[in-house]
Amino acid sequence: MLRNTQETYGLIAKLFHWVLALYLAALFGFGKYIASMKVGIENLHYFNLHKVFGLIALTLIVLRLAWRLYSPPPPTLAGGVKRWELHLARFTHGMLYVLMFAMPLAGWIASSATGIRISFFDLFFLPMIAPPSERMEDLFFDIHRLFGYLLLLFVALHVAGALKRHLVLRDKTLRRMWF
Amino acid sequence: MRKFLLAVSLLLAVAVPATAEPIKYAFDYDDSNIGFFYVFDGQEFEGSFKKFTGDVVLDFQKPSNSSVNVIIDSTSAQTSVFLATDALKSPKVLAVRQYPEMRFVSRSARREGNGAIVTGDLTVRDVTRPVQLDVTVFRDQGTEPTERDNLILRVKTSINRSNYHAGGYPEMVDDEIKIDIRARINRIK
Repeated sequence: MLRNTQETYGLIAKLFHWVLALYLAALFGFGKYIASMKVGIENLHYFNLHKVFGLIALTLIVLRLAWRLYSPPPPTLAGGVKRWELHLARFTHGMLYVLMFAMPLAGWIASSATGIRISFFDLFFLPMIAPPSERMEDLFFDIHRLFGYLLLLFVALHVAGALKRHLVLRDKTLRRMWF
Repeated sequence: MRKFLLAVSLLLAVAVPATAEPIKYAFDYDDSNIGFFYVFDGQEFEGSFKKFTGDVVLDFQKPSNSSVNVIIDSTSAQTSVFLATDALKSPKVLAVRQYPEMRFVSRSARREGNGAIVTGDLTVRDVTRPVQLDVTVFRDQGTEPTERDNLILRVKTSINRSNYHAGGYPEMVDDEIKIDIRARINRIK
């Protein structure tokens, strides 16, 4: 089943969820690595690679949001969950989507502000979405980093909520997202 | 042909008729190159500026009457890799959008060995600082020692880019930039 139903998530939503989870985790690690590495001839292209992977992530996230609108998720299971927990869960989901979209976007703006183009596997250059400006570069790289840590925080809340439902409440929230 | 340039000693000026006056030259832009060398991660790389305008006056009798003025189009900077070219033009280095031109105006010239030392003001990013150029004048092989109509200038110097507020990416690229210009000049008749 490709589409979501009232009962469970469809294959497309599951793939978006798990592939993006792994992909973004790897991209986060890669970002932390290039931010701290000693830059040399051998690894200079890692910056470009991170940007290309980041823009692929942004594309996947836009597709994921489009799919979510096209095929809404099953309703939240409410049994045994406190009101504030439901609110927190909804807020966390909202923030995950906002940050998954805004974090690569901030990176793209910062990257554009450096004036250094992004080469897509030597095939073509990706569009610049901000004029060259040191101030914007610094500001948006700070935002990019901040959004990264916020994303990590909300992922932690999301995982904690999912584990609580799976291990404590023993409902099928996590199972319906699995294959 | 370029490989067989012969130095025209400015001392040979005595071979020029006594009536010699300062000679005005125009650059042959198609046969000139404003080159530079930068060190990235301990390795030297080359780049150049593709567009410039300027004029040259040489006085072989009295070198101090010689002068050179050049305006370089910063946006024409080019290296062998787009990452370096873009970084060079970026706000952290040449900021070419804000400062599309670099200028050199000579202040004095004196004979030195087989060439000349030209001092002048180099303006990059609106920062003007004195620089000293080592200039050698060549003529093509096969031309007469008195040849003055078609010459080649070889100009060498080095600058510290941070002096011009162009010191971006210091952890990757050395501060010192070597400049090596080869320019063909033709006498304006």
